[in-house]
Amino acid sequence: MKAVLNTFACIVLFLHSSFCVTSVPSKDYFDEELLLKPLPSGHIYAYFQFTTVWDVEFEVTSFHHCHLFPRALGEIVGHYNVQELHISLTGGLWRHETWGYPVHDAAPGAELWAWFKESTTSIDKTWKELAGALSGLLCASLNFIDSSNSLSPEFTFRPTGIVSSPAANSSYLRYATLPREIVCTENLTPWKKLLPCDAKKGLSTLLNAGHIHNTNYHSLGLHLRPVCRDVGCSQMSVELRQTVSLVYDMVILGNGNQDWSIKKLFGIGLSGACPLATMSNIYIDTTLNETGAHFQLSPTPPAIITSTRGGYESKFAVYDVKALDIDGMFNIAAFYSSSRVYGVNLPPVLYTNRYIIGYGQERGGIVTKLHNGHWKALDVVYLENIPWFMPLYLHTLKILANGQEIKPLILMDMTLTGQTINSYAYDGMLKELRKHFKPVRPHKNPAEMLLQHDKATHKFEDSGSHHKIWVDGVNPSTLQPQSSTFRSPLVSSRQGCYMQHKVSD
Amino acid sequence: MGVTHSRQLSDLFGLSYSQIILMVADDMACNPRNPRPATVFNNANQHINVYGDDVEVDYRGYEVTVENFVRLLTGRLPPGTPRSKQLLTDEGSNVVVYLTGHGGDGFLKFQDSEEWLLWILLCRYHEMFFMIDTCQAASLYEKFYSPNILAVASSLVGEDSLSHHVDPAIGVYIIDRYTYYALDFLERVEPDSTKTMGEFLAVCPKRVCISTVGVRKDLFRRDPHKVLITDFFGSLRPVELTLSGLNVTALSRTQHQSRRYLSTDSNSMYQKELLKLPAHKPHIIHSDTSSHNADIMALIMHETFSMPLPFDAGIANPLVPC
Repeated sequence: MKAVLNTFACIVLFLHSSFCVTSVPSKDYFDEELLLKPLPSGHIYAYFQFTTVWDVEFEVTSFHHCHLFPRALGEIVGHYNVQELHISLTGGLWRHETWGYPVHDAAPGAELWAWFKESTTSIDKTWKELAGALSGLLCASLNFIDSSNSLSPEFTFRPTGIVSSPAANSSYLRYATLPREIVCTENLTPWKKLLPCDAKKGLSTLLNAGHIHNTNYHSLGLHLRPVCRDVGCSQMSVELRQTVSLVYDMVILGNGNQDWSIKKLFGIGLSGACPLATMSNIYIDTTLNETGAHFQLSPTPPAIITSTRGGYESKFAVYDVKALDIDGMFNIAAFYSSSRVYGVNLPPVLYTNRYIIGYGQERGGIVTKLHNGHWKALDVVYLENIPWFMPLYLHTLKILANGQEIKPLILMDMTLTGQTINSYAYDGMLKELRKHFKPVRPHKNPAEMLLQHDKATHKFEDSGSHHKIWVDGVNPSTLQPQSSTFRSPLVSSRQGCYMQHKVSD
Repeated sequence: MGVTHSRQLSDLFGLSYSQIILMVADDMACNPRNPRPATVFNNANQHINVYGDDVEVDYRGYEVTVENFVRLLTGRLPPGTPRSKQLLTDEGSNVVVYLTGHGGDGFLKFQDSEEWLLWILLCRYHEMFFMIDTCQAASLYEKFYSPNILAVASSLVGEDSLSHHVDPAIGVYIIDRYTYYALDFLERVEPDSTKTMGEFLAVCPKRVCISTVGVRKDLFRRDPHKVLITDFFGSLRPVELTLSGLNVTALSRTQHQSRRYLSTDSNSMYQKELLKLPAHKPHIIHSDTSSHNADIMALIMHETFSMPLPFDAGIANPLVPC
């Protein structure tokens, strides 16, 4: 009997091993896209998007064998039980008022937020370790993220991927920003290594440090989420989007000439698509061609597509790089028929600016102006992370719109965590204040939000005490109404679109 | 300009950034005041952009602290520290430490608020080459007492170390004299070079350095003139792919240790053996300690001669003071 059992065990093992060997590798694909959009202000917005979708269960073991998906990242998200991950490393400031909305908005410096799976036990500890691991992956000081600068906002964030239950539990969310984090070549290098073709072939060859960090605004992004594999959503896939947003100032780069080309922007032509890519497209937004300065594209675009979003129509010239049969270097150039002409600038639905007022150590104040470009009132969710050295007086909060004071609908998440952080700071004083409330119906005149604070003194050994201070940007968001001028392409038209943008001082 | 040197050294010897731990306190390349963003040049003629597209900085900005530096060397790191921020040396590792920044008699400045003092330095190594380019640099190796350290300093106690030349485009002295001549020497070294450490120690005579270069050889058991420069800087190893299996027999603990401590020429022996084994590339660390001074840097490099054999795992490596 024992012998029989042994034989049986051998057969089972054999079957099991042969199953492992012959099992069909899970399906995955990789798309690379570049959007070039001349902005009314004369700037050029370049947005790269590299998407890897992998039909696999979002489990730790799935990431042991990767094909197109970067294993280095897969191991981290698997090990730390991550459900969804968003990282951005940004230099410069996105000017919402003149540039409209970017495809992906990002806070200045480093920004990281993650949803953990519900099985995660010690989220604060896991969050800290996740940030540490990512700091090694991207050469950024994300290891400075800890409980002192992390939030679990209740309203501002929703999971962007599929979730098991419709009600998002913000206790599984952690969000942090490092506003003074610099972004340079050492971040771009490891970021490029996560791409299937690295920077050796395809659109990523255009990403050269010297032509990225000379821009007015540059932002690296990494967005991981679970998505539905099919319409019925019976199975899950993992989607990784790597993005780069760049804004080139043609006044500086063009030497008075408004003409631009891939070679002029990125310093190099395109040698072809990444062989591993299923799709390799370049889109050029030609909408402004009709209203603003007229430009001619060379070579002539093989296709023009029209995208309608919220009553606003955009036109894109599409170049399929895989179909182009490139021999040598490929370039797309835009030649303007007249000298510099600026387009009409329609400010976006909601934008914000902020400034500091007051004088002396004890009479600080911070004013945030929320501009509503929409024809009716908007509900705004507003998130702000105030550092410990700006102890706030929350009773001084005053929101004025059209000369009338308005009350926030909900004022939430007032958490004092001062006791747990920075033992070098000042006892008895509020070291950190998080406010997160749902207020404001701004009208055409900007709603003004005023808060008073003290200015705490830094000790000489505090990090950055000899520099200027850096305060996190605010993060207002609103439900985008249907009939508005939301001009971000690459996202399909929807009834209403939840919109966020991030502003710094 | 710490990046400059490690980057060049890595270029010269085919090291990848995974073998260098680079610590840079300042963001020089992407600083808004840099007229050529994302570039750092090795000299005023802008011959080589040393901040190339493959640069990876492991510790930067306010991560460059004395605490992190000591934690890196001792391996006592917080949980979750990624491998790129760990030294991971063992008793077979040849380590090169290169430090530069503002210093004085017995200290090297880190950031604007702390100093590094040498006697709190511990790590695992087989042989160490310690280079320091700062004022009164020799004061920083005087207290060494551990074996197998070869140390060189750009100036003796009481002397200043001077910089080489200014780049008028940015108004900053971009390289120090000792480092300039050391690099000049290393640039002409090939991976199969027969140049020796003895030659390298004499690269900057007083007539060009202006300061007196200090050398400490008493802890080092070999004659520097008989040590190939590639023992510390060299990294390219021929790899032979073979389909036939390699017979590896575990050595006993005593045999292993006796080789480690008694062999006078262990490196070449390790190297010979490594030629048969899958290539195990050297590992370099590099750090730039001070901030706000573009003429400041620190670099640590280390080279691993560890034997990737199974018996290594069973032996507890002693913690050797550096």
